[in-house]
Amino acid sequence: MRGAVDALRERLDGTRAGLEVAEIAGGYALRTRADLTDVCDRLRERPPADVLSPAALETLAVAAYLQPVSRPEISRLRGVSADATVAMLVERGLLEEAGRVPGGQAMLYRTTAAFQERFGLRDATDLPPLADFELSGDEADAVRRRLVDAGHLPEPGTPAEPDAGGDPRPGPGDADG
Amino acid sequence: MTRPDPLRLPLDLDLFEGPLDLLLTLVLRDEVDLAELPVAGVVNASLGGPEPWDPATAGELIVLMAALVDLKSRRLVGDDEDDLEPDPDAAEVRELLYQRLVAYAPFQKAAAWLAEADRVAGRVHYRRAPLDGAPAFVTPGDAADLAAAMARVLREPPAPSLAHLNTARVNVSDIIHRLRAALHHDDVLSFEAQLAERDGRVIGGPLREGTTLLAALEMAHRGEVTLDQPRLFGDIAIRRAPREDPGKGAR
Repeated sequence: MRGAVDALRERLDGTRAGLEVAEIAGGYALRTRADLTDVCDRLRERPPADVLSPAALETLAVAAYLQPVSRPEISRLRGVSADATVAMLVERGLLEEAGRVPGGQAMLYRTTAAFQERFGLRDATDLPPLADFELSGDEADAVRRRLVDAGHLPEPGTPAEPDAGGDPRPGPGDADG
Repeated sequence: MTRPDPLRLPLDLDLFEGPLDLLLTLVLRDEVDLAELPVAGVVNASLGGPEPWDPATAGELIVLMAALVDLKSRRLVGDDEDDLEPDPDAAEVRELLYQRLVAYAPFQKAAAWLAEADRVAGRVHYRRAPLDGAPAFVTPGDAADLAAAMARVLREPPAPSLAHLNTARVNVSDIIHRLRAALHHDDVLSFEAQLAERDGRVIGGPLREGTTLLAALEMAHRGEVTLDQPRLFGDIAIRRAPREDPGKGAR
């Protein structure tokens, strides 16, 4: 089977055909070549205006790394209600239900094969490590500086600043293991 | 039917009587004391009209109300947060906010990565047609099972639908319009330039070439242009015909 797919792949690549074989979403797919997108878009009746909002992309990112994840958990991480966004992503087939939180009522969600196909991923784990996206010390300092400038945080060294070694809730960055 | 203008809406409050925009103007000029102004009263008076609001009017009203509440809260609390007593609990909450922002940042970056992956993957199109007739998995059985499986494979598949594809539409009169417009600026047009890439898109192709030639011939037939092809199979110069009557504009 694999040999036959490889043979087809070589034949398409060798003849610079308009199609290519790609390993996507846990299987193989026949798709048009990316460099022919202008030609394909001219042929299509309507270029798809299927744009995802920043909120939708962030919700997908949370779900992709922490799945299965509940709606309240996504909302807590994002700091805003995720109900409408999750419902929209389920409707668009990018998220799906994945049982309930053990011992709880909240529904869990995970990304779908359509998600992997849309973003060109081989499988659900074909993502860069989340640690690669963590803020560097300088970037974290810049965030703190912005908050101080906006009056949301006291100047460093102000007595009102709480003990940094206190008991902060575990951050979402800890949860990608 | 004229829509009620929320700005001209008359308000009847103890402190003030008149339209909302005048109230806001007076507030901004410090001629009405915001601390004394009951915002709930303004909201009630605004909503108390006889007619239901349409979404656009209601939207304007909400913006005005929000501005009013913002003004009032600023006056009450003060713009400068240094005026406030530092609240240790608030500081702790803010530190938690900072930690949350830092912890959430990787997901924002991951979202940016997804957006880029979406952009790249969005440049390909997948085969959507089902693998008609192909059995998902053939279990070993007798010759009849094998024959049935082979029959499904060998059956002629239905013709793929081309409904999602554009029908190439070429229209001679559209191209005549375009050539006329171009001839307003230039006396002579290059035939080949009409087929050249424009805005990063190739608009040529044999069909386009043929249609443009028909358009040019039609214009020559009507006496609007003259055509000149000095070299066989070379470029054709489409030249605007001299006007016979200066008083009569080209149509």
